[in-house]
Amino acid sequence: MISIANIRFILRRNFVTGIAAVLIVVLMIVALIGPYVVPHDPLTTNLREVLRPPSSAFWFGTDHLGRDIFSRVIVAARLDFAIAIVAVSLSAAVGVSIGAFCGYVGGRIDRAMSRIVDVMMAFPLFVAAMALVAVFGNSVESIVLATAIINLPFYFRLMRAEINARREAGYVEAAIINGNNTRQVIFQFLIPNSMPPVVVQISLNLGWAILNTAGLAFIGLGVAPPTPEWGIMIQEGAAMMVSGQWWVVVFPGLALVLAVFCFSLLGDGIRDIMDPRRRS
Amino acid sequence: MRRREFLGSGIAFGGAAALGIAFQPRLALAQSQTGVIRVLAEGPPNTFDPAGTGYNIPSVNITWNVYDRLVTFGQKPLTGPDQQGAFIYDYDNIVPQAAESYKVAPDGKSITFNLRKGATFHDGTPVTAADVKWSLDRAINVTTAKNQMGTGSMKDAKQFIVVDDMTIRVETDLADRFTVPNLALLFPAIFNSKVCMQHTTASDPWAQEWLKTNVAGGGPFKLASYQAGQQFVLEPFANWKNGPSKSTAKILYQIVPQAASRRIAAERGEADLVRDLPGRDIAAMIAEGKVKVLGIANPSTVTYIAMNNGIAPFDNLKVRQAVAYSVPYQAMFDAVLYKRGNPMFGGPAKVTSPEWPSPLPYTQDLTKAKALLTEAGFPSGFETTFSIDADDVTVSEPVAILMQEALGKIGIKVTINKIPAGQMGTLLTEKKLPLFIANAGAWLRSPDYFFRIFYQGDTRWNFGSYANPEMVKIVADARWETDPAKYNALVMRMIELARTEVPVIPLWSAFQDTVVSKGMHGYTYMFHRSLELRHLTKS
Amino acid sequence: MRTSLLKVILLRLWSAIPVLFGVLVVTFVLIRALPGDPAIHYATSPNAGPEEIEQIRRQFGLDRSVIEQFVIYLRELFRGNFGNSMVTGQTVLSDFATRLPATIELAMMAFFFAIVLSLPAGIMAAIWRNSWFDQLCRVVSSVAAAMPVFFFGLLLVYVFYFKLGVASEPIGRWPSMIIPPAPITGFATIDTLMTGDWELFRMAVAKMIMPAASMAIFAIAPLLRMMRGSMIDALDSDYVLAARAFGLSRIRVILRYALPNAMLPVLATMGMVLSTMLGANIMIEKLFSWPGIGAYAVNSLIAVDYAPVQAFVLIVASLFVAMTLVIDILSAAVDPRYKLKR
Repeated sequence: MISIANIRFILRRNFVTGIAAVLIVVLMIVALIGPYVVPHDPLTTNLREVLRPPSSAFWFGTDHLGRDIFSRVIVAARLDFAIAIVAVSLSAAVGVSIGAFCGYVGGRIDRAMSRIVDVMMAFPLFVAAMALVAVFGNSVESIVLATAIINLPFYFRLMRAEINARREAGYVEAAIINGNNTRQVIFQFLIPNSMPPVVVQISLNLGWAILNTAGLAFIGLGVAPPTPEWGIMIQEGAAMMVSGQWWVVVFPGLALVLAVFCFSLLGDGIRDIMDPRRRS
Repeated sequence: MRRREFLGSGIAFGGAAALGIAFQPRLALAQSQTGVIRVLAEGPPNTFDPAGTGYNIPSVNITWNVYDRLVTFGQKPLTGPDQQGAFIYDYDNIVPQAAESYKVAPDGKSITFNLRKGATFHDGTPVTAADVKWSLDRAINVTTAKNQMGTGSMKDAKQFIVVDDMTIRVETDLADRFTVPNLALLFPAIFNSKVCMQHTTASDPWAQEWLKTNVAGGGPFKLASYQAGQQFVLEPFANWKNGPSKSTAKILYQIVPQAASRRIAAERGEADLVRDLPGRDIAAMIAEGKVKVLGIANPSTVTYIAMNNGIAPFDNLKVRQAVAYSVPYQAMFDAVLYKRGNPMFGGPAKVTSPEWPSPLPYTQDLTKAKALLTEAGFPSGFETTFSIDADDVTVSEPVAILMQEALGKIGIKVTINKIPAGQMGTLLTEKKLPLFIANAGAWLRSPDYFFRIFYQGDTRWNFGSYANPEMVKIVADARWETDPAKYNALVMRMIELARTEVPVIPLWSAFQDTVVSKGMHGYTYMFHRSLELRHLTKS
Repeated sequence: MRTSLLKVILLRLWSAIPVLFGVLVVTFVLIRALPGDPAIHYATSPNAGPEEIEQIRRQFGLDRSVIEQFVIYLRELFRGNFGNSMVTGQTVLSDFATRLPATIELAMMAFFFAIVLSLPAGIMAAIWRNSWFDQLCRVVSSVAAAMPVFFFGLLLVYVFYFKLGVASEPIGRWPSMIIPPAPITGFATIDTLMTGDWELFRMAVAKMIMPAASMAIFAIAPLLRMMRGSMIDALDSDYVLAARAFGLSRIRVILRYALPNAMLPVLATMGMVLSTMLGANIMIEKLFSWPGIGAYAVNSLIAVDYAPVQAFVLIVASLFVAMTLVIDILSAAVDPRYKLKR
């Protein structure tokens, strides 16, 4: 078990990871309390203050309907994180369970599942996500579902490989001898022992999920207006970039980059901590 | 093969980098050339057949210019503030094109067309009455064209009679004021029938498959090159005899999906004619004063907020009126459309003329709206969804957001629903959407024609699913009414109904804004909104 | 050796068939699950009524059962007919013939940018581990990994085209006012070289710089990190230490011994990056009006145009399968210890 002193030691050795973790906590707090502290209502239009550059009244300027971009960027954090977290948890939970089961049981089910996953991997993932969103309709739920589905294969393969390598381990045999059934062996012994690479994958994946959501929005398959979301805000602002109203794109873009940046640093950090051999 | 290509391009890139020719300044070549008119537009055409199945609006830019029709609309000069030097089609002046002259019989039941002597198709074969006959027969047979031809009483091949090699007669059961205008529309284009007939098959008697990717016409332009989805070049047809054509320049039509890219090119003077720009860009460019913008509205194209009269609560007249009074018309017009159109709101309280479309009497009045809603039995409002086409969000998305805000103030809770373009038509046809934005225009200018399409019937074009027996009756009565006074009275009643019952809420008739370079002359707006190229010249 | 390689290739291709078939079935079903009805969407004429819609449905063969449609589709596919696109009005095959080169060309250039930037940087970061350069690489690759390609593209357009005016117009493959040369191979660079037109060649390359740079951004992080990581492993390995002990020069050791061994995992990453670039540059193609296959697939999907989407998915999946195989073979060629997977 890792003690507090241990964590403190690790954090001191991994300064950047520590900063990333702190930043993520800050972003999470912003996501939680943001909607209650923003200076303007993120949805209220103000047609007298359209496309104002950043000022003391509107820190990040206003968009084409006079809405305050700062407030929208802040409020969007909650939705973007929620989409990423729910989607990634969903695909991790499903992918890990199926992957572990197939890896442990093997045989025909395993071969069938592996084939299905091969098909999913060969599919152009972004197009798959688009098609899924188009089929299920433009809603937060379908974006979550699409993101979860396209990330599923990674968890499946990762877990299946991990379990395959551990199937014959001593503690597994001990568990079987002690009378645990298959389900217990998988969920109480194998999965907990195979988690470290999954945790790394989750942390990296959170960033990808945010990028993926933004990409879908850029193509026009984002959440319904007027809900603030970073990708949609970039897409709306893209046309204004050439008329010089850079702030409409740049601020949500930077927020997006910052969030993904923190998640990927954290993922790297966790990998370093768990696998000292690859420490950078 | 792939390996060789890979190596080839690898070396090529290496060379480029080594020569240090990265970020090159734009070339002198980019400056305008008088021999080429460069057009930038948003979407690619999908067929060369004027009556092709699923033909899209961009394809009209080709079909309209490479084919002739028996007759066409004349042009009249425009005088508005940003219309200097431009022309618009004249619905009341139908002039001969492939025909040298035409004569309507005194009873109005037959029209005789004399073909132009010496006129040929692009391949040099003379245009004969047999070609015209084949083309008209085709128009009443192919799926896309036949309903439209029917609105001009042309339904049977027997109605098209070849008198001699250079004369053809069109007969109708009743004198129909829509017969001649229908012959000036897209579909009855004149094909080189001898060529087409070489490409017909038993299952495809009208050479639809072949004409989709081939041109067999005699219009003022020839299709010189075509790269699907990217660009095409139209070249003037030197032997064109069917009307005044001043254009000697080649037309380079390029598809540029990003509005921002089109705007940059327009501002830098790198294009001669730029279309499909959002109102915000147009307003900004006008303010900067660097480019010339022609803003021309099609009088019969209207943008609506449509309510589904077939389902509750919009079957309730008072609810519809409440919605009509809650629309922030002026704010939308100013901030969403950037005033690039003619308002359809804030009109006089009384109907004074049979002019249609004309402004409705509504303006935003939330107190009145709230009162009407209470009277209708919804004192605390209701919930509904507002649908917009995901492909057309520049205007409709802000409109939806402003509507959501305004309706929220009278207690109607609105969820905005963005629907992919491919699904919109299905939902409209199935009449499933409660509240949505629609934009459509009529090709023929008569008010009764307009109401017949948009205010009755079960097609998707009856956006409000409006089913008022009185409207159905007077629209039918007006169809064959020849007495102008009686006709006007009927139209006044239609307008009255449209105003008081508001099955759909007209917002505005938007301009089709076109940025033209300084040297362009003779721009003419046609009923179909696509380009009429033959009058264009460049100096 | 030679026969066994051939056998492995054939085996791998054989085992790819069920995967590709699965992709085909999934696409076929998924696209028909889209709520839009193509017959209605393409009943564009004014006054279109139910009769016209029905006629179009028959014309498209959509009145048949899905199974029947699938059988017909497969039959046509075996004849090399991918169907017609409703959006462009061309056969899907001819659309791909003009668009695939544009996509490949852009992806190659982006790939080239990414490699030229990240491999040397990765090697140097590994050599001077924990130096300021290593730290810089870490920051750059993390930022690059977090940057959505279209956001980076927008920034490039704003700075280099709008503000500074040094970049080529961000529209399509050819500059303004040029009537592009008739395609020979479809690759703008190769075609212009074949005709010896240096002016056009230069323009074609200039047009590619911004979109390729935007696309390269996502590849920098995986390539740089993988190069650095495997180079560190190689530098720390016994044989490199031994070679150093023998007194071989540092440069020679790095280039002759460490680098070839470090390339193996990098090759796999390169394959992954390239196949992603070929299949997933949709946003870049949209942003820069690049006439490639990604934008084509998106437009078709939105317009419920079945045939092009099916073809796109099939082609990208095949590219993916082929790329994996090529990487495997290359890995075996680089490292004799590497076992080809069957």
